[in-house]
Amino acid sequence: MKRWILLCLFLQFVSGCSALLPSPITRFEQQTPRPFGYLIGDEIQHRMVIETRQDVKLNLDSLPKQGELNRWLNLNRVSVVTDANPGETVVELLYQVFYAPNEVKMLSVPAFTLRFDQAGKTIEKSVPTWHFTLSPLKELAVRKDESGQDYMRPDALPTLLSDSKQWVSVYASLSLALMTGLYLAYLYGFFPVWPKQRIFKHALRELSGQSQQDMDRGLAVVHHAFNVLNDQPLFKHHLPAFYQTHTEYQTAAEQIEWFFNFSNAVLFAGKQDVDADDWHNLLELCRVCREIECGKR
Amino acid sequence: MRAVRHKLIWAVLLASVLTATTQLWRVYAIHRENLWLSQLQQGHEISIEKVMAAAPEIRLARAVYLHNKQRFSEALDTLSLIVEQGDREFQAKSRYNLGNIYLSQALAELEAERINQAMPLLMLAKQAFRQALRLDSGFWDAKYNLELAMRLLPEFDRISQSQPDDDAVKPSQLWTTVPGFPRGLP
Repeated sequence: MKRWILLCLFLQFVSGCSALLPSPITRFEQQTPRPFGYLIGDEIQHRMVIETRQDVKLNLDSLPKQGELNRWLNLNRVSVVTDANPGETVVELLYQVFYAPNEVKMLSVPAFTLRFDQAGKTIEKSVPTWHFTLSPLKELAVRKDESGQDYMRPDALPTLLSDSKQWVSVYASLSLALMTGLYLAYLYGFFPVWPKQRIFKHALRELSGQSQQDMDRGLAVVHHAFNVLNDQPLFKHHLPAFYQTHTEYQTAAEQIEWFFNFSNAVLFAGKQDVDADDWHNLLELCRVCREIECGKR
Repeated sequence: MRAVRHKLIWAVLLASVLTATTQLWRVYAIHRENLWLSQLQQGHEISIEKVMAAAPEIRLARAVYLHNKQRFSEALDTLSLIVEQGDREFQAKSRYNLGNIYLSQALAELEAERINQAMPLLMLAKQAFRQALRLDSGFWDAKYNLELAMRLLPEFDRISQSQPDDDAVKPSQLWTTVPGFPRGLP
């Protein structure tokens, strides 16, 4: 007898402890929209917020399958979002109804059972049937149009094609073309307000109008161009400093070196035997410098 | 490096001019296609050659024109080429128009009391309207015409085992669907 009493007390104690354990599904909230006023083709969204213990996982196979549930009810979308906060799962179901009632009619979204897995065990939670009313869209009597045919809504007309995207592209590309065009015009010395971009352009034009016989004048033109570019008279021994401030002219260093040597020989050493090659070299130097000025080199 | 940069600037200039020219040509093409759309909507046919290379909207407009002229098979052929094209809104429209053609044909058959010919057309119409509504559930004209088609060809499945449908109590030995609307009702 004493043993029986002790056993009963033990069992009572154990059952009391089990009540202290939290339920596997701590929260189940079914959020449904208004249950009335629907028409054929309407979509109905159901949302379920489920909170479970961390070791409890929703079995996705227990969710209704996307597609036709019955003749008049489609399940268009099933989405399951598991929150970063562990244990919270949000299930969204988007139904679409294709029923044509003759009068306001009560229909129902069928019930289903959600299954949860917990350490090899299955826990079930039933989602109840959801009732709603659907109304007809057209009158019961047969409506005729002017020609005596059954009235039906007309075809959908296409909207006029929009050209706004194309205009945006036109404006954007023209703006870019204008900017690059202006920059190129600047590089090519088309703007008198930036005379430094026009130095060798003028020199080359001036040399083009002269001949080999005008070598002195030609040398003076090129010297003047270098002086203007350097903002002060440029002599051969200033060339290293010149290349430091005008690094782009380093590429023509050999020709510039030749020019200063040749110029010294003609203007100061009395060199008389200038030939066509010398004139050609001078023109070529001017042309190379013009290309450097334009940014081509 | 300067030479590369210089060439790059020229390339940018040429590319932007080319883009502007192409887009201007596209603007002109859109303007021309909008004129064709207006012509079709005013009931003037345009040649098939123009439709061939034009936007799907032109084919849709031509299908509407052909439907209005009761040239059903040509309208169906035209629509069948574009039902998969365009965005959701456009696809909903093309499927709705497809349903309308089937519905018009079915109404013509019913008018001529050729019920057997009307039934498959009504089923096709319902299918097309359903597809349109799946793409755009707020498409009111598709809702209306689907309801019309479903009234003409009701479906008699039970809604649920526990709750029989009103229509389901009607006996149906041979057909699961009955064509035609009970015209004697008020």
